[in-house]
Amino acid sequence: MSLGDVGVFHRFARAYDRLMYAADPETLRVGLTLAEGPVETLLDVGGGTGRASRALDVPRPVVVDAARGMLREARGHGLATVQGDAARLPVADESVDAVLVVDALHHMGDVDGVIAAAERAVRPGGVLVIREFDPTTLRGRGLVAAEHLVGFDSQFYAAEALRDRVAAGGFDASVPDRGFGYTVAGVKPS
Amino acid sequence: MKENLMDIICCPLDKHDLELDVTERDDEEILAGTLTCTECGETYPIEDGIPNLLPPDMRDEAPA
Repeated sequence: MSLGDVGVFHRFARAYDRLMYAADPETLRVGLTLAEGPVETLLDVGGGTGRASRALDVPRPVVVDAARGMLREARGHGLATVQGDAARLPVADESVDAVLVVDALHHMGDVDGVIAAAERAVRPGGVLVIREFDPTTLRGRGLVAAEHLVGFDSQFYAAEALRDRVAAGGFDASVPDRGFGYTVAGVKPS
Repeated sequence: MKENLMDIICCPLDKHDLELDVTERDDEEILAGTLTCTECGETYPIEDGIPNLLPPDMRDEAPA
């Protein structure tokens, strides 16, 4: 099992929070609203300092990240935090309403493992929402080059390719928001 | 961590329930202690209020 870019994040936790895009809650909500029934317990996987959790109005967000430095920041914002691996989520079967992966999947070594772990964790009718960058756009190509330049071992997917992998993981998958940043949503069939 | 987090967390290896042992508490917050899997017996630390539920093979690799 690869730790991916965890070490890099641990060193740069504070700077990262200042440098990265603020999570636009609207682009996440278009995915979360696809869930059947209310979204109360939400796992913010690879959630780092908890930017997405803080931007959303969800009753019970839990930030899961492998990098402890990021979680200290998240906890400082009053968020529930769990240090854990995205592909081996330490939560019970069907225990959450939603799993969110915002600007983080491209840092994770085992994408299909992450999708499978989310499928296990989400209740029937619950939703997996992934926010990613499209490497086939002009800005996307620049981002890919920049991330490799700073030492990230990032792997980016085009929107349709990621949607297909989410579908292969057992979700009803769609792309509710498109562009340089895009949202893929998968509803677990109930 | 708050005690109600026990409602959802489990052992990352076999997904069985965890037993909580608290050594330091501040009001509702559990600051230090351990979580032990009721099935495989693996023990996971809670330090500075954050439970470390990384699988053991990642725990040593991860920055402290």
